[in-house]
Amino acid sequence: MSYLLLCVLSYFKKIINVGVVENESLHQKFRQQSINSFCLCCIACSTPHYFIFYSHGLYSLFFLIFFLHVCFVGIMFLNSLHHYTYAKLLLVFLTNFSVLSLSLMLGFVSGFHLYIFTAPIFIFWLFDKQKIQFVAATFVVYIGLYLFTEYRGSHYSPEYQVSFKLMSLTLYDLNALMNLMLIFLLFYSYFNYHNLLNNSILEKQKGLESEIYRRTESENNTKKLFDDLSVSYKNLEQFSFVVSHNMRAPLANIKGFVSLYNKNQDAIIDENAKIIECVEQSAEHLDGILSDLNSILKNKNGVLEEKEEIVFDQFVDNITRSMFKEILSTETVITKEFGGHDTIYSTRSLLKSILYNIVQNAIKYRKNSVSPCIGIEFYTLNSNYIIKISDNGVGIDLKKYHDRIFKLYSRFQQNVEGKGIGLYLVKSQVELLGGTIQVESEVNKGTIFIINLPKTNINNG
Amino acid sequence: MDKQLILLVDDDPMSNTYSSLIVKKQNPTAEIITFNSGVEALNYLSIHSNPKPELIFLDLNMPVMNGWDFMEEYQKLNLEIEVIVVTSSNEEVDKEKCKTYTGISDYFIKPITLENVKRLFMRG
Repeated sequence: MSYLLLCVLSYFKKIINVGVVENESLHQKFRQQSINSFCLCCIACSTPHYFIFYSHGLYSLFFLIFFLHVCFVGIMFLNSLHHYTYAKLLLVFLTNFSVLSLSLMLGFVSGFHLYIFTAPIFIFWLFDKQKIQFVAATFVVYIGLYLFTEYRGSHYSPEYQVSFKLMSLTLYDLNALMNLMLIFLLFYSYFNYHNLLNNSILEKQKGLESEIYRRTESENNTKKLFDDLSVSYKNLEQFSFVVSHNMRAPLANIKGFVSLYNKNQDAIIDENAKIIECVEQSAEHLDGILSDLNSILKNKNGVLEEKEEIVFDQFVDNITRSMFKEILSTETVITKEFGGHDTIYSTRSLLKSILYNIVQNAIKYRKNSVSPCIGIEFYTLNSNYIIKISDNGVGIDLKKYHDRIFKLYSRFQQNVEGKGIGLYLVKSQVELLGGTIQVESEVNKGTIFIINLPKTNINNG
Repeated sequence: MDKQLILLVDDDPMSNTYSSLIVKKQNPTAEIITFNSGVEALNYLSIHSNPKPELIFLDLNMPVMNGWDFMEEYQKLNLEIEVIVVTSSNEEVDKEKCKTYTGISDYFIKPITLENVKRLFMRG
């Protein structure tokens, strides 16, 4: 007996679990199980009525039990094949069928109890993903109901027929009307819901698109930041390498001279004096390197200063005025050409250092026989400021030195005093302003520096 | 000890002064000529073949023409003079690169010591 009970329980358990997918959330599983339980309850509640109200002999009861059993097996079979929708449809169909049969047996004409019993369909319809199938199923069921109620008169027992006859005429029409209205409402709500769903999908899609855009943007920014950092790191590495290398030379000299110093030999006092002098000079050299380093770092900090609107013409005049001695003594001619743009929004100290160094180089590396001629052009191109400084000096052999031109302590002229810092500073400062610098040069013809600075304004500067 | 002619090529005059002092200390009769750039040294070498220099002390890190550029040009002269690299660079890359030039026979890190110079002259 208990075995039989267990069999029945496992049978019901399987039915309750129809359409329950393993990887669904607990909430979804519970919902599906509740719907199935409700269907099962409907079937269970309606079945005993056949015992009480059957009127066509026992065979109809056996047929019904057999039919229900076949259907349950079918549901479980479909479920085992993962045809969840069809399994659920069959269950709903079975629920409605049993309720409908009960209705026929009883001879009920009022549709109200049918609506209550066919509720699973609505529940499915409301919560299931495959709504269109359930709408179709609802439609079929209601058509079925309509057709069956047409035949109801010839099947139920005569005494019930008599007792409900008077009422049936009006209620039948009402029932049919309500069914049609319900079908209409179902379709209306389905399409309405569908539109709402579409709209919400569109909104989500737009949200996703903007999210993707935002993320791509932030990814690009991160990448740019990373690239900038890599460049800065490389520059810093190069800088520290060069600086340490250059500091090593005078230090090595000091170390060497000190090792040559004769502590106990008065006879060679002259040599000692020379050594001390050399040590002093090497120390001065080292000091010079350190102060250069200091000035480089100080210049690099210029980026911390506020940007401002600079009138370029006056700005250039101020720079040339500060070097008037050199300009006068070398008879330098400076020509200016500003293409309709007279102000630049930038950091004054950095821009001053850039222009000063380039102009100073143009004078320093002039040709012996010709007075220097420096041209300063300023114009805007797209969203950039372009500053072009050209000279007629000795030029740089770019084929030979193109990769060294802006490097620290790089020098290209043997006969002119220089530390090899100026162009390094210029490049670092242009980069601090977010710009780029290019150089065109031909030996004995001259050099052109083209500075490209991003145009920023007061608002986003 | 023979009278030797030694060329010092370094852009830093103080390094040249130091190298002269230390060479003189080991070999007081040595004749030393200093150059502040590779170009000057190459000009000298292309013109003066007699007396032939015994050694060239060469710095690597020089402006305009660095030690490697100097070696490229120097090899074209086919002079077969021993070149001693004297540099403040302790980089393995530089040491390895030196091995690719047949003219370079030694690599010294600044400051060169008396022992370094002694070893050079003993070998010679």
